[in-house]
Amino acid sequence: MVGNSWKHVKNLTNLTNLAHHCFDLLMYKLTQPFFIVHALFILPFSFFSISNFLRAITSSHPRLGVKSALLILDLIGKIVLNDPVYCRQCWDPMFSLLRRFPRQLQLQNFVLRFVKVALKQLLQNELRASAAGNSGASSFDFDAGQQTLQEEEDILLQLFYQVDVEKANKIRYTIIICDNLLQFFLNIAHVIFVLVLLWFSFVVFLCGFFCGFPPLSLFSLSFFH
Amino acid sequence: MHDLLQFFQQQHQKAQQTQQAQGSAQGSGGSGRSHMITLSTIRHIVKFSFLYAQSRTSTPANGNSGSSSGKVDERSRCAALSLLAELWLLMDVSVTDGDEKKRAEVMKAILGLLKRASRESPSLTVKFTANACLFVLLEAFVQNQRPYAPYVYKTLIFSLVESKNDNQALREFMMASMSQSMNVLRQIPVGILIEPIIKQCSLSGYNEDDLNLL
Repeated sequence: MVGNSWKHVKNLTNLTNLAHHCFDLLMYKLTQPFFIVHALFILPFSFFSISNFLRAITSSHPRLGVKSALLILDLIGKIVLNDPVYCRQCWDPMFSLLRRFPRQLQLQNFVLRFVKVALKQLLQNELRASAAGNSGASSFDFDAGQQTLQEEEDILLQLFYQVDVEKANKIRYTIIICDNLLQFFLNIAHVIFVLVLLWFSFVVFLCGFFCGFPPLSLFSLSFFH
Repeated sequence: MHDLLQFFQQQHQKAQQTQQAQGSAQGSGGSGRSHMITLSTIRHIVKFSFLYAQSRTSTPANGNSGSSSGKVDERSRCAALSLLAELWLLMDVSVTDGDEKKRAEVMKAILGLLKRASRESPSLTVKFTANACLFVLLEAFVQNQRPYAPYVYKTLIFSLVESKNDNQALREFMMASMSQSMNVLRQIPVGILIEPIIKQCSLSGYNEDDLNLL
C-alpha cells in the first residue's frame, strides 16, 4: 500500500500541470470557431447598429415552437450559406434559435445537415479556387489538378481528425490525472480509517484495564459463555 | 364625431371616478354612471360612420357630398375608420348593457369593414389607416385578453402577407408594426405568422424587413 501511495505521490508532480490543462481546456472551449465568429463579428455590429435592436424578434419570442424554429432555421441556413448580402443579418436569429433548443433532436439533426452542406460547399469552393490558380483566396494549398476529389477530402478529414486527436489527448490526459488523484486520496482515507480504528480499540482496551469500564470480560471469550 | 366620442369617454371616466369615490358599498352603482353610453347610441354612431367608411367615394349614400376632391374623400374615410376603431375600444371597455348577440354583431361588422379597407381599398392612405387601427385594436385586445384578439391577429397576418404585392412602403410599415407588436405582446402565438412569411420568402424572395422580423 505504501508503495502504491508513493506512486501517487509521484503523480503529485503532475498536479501543477493539472490546473494548466484545465485552463487549456477552458480556453479551447472559449475559442471555438462559433464563439470567435460571434465575438468578433456579431457583437460589435449588435452594439453599434440601431437596426439590430429589432432583430431576432420571433426567434426570441417565448411562444415559438420547435416546428416554427425549424422552418426559420431552414430559411436562415440557406441564406447564411448562399447569400453573402444578408448572411450576417441572419447570424443573430440563428444563434438565438440554436441556443434556445439545444436538446431537441430535430434541431441537432438540422445542425448536422447544415455542417455537412457547409463543409461540402467549402470544399467545392476551395477546389474551384485552387483549380483557378487563385492561391490568395485559398487557405489550403492543393496541387491543382493533380489530386482527385477523394484525396482532397482525405486531406480535409485528416486535418479535422488531427484537431480532434489533439482535443481528445488533452481530455484523456486530464482524466488520467484526475483518476490518479482520486485513487490517491481514497487510499490515504483508507489508511487513516484503519489507523483510527486501531487507536480507538486500543483506547477502549486501556480504559477497561485501568477503570474497569468497559469490563475486560468483554474482550475475553468467557463473557459469551 | 371624434369630439363626441371624447366627450363620452370623459363622461365615462368621470363616472368611474365618482363611483370609486362613493365606494361600492352604497349599492347605487348606476347613479354615477353616464347613461349616454348605451349600445343603441353606439349602434347609431356605427351606422353613421359606416356610411362614410363603406363607400368608395366616401360620400354617404343619401347625403350631400361636401367636396369632390379625392383627398378629402380619403380623409373622411380614414376618419370614419379610426372612429369605428375607437368605438370598438370604447364599447369593449365601457358599454356593458344590451344583448351579447347584438354587441357581437356590431364588433363583427367593424372588423369586417376594417378588413376590407386594409386589403381591398385602392387608396394607400386608407390601407395605412385601417392597418394602424387594427394594430391598435390588437394591442388593446391582447393586453386585456379579449376573445376578438385572434380574429384581429389573423386579419393582420393576411394583410401583412398580401402587402408584399402592394407597395413597398406599406410592407415596411406592416413589418415594423408587427415587429413592434411582437416585442410588446409576448403572449401572442408566432407560429401562425411564421409559416406564411417563410413560405413567401422562399417563393418570392426576401429583404431586410423580412429578416428583421425573424
